[in-house]
Amino acid sequence: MKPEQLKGHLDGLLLAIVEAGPAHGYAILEALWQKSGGVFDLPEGTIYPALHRLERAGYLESGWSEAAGRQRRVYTLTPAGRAALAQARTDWEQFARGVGTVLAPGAA
Amino acid sequence: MIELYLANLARRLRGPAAWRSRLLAEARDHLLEAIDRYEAAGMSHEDAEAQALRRFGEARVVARAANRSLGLWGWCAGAIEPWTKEAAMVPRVLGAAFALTSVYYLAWYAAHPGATGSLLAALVVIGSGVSLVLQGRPAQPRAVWFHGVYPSAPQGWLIVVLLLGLTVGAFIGVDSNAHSVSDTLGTFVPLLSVIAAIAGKLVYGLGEPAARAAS
Repeated sequence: MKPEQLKGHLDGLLLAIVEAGPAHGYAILEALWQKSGGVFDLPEGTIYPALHRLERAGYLESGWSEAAGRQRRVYTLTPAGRAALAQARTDWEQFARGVGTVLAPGAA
Repeated sequence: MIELYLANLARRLRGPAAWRSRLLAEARDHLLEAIDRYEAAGMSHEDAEAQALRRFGEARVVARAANRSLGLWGWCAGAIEPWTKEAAMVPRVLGAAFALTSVYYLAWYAAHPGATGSLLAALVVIGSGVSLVLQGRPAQPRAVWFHGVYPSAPQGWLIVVLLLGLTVGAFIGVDSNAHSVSDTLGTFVPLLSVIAAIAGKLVYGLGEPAARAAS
């Protein structure tokens, strides 16, 4: 899937990944890759601005931790992020149902 | 290779220094972890580096996404950051604005040829404006009293206080002898342009050299 097709959905996807537990950027991307079966192939560096944006919105919080002698930023879902994720899921279900209905063979 | 990439990315990032520093630290951690994984999977170090960089995305693409995520706030933050492109634009834009006000004074002089004060004001704002537009940063300043536009030494703070005092004093002096708002502004703007040009000379002339500030 091309990166531009992810527009509007990336925030929800990132929140869904972090919902499973605190994670740093690389782990988030790896989980996104694995859970999607490799469908989402975006430049990896572009998830960091998205994570920062979600943090500024209050949906994520983050802090430095040390692993393997390196400093890494670990992200955690906030209560506001959990609510935003629930809303994203609702919106996606409505969107997918609508698109599915129209695209279904013989629907037009 | 990683360091070259990060330096390239750093050059392209705008916005607050703390945010840029954090993004670069995360990028470094991401790339190092990716290299570790690829090497563990059997790649040579060179191939692992190349693959990690390729998957991370071109510095241009990552920087564009990062800069866009900051929006207008990011641009404004960059404008008051030392040594960003936006900050370098501030004296130029200010100088161009002052130089543009000369149109008003010249138009007034054209309508009232006897008003030599207007001609003088036009010359003053043009001179100050050009001085600000051409303001450069010396490679070897005689003193380091400023970091970007921010004072970094007591002498720098003293200069800021004196310039602010001069500005307020000039405004009060002009306003007390003026007959209208336009009269006040008409006299104050040329004085303000001179103060701004002096401020530019002092702040940049006594500021940190570019090479040290960028590191």
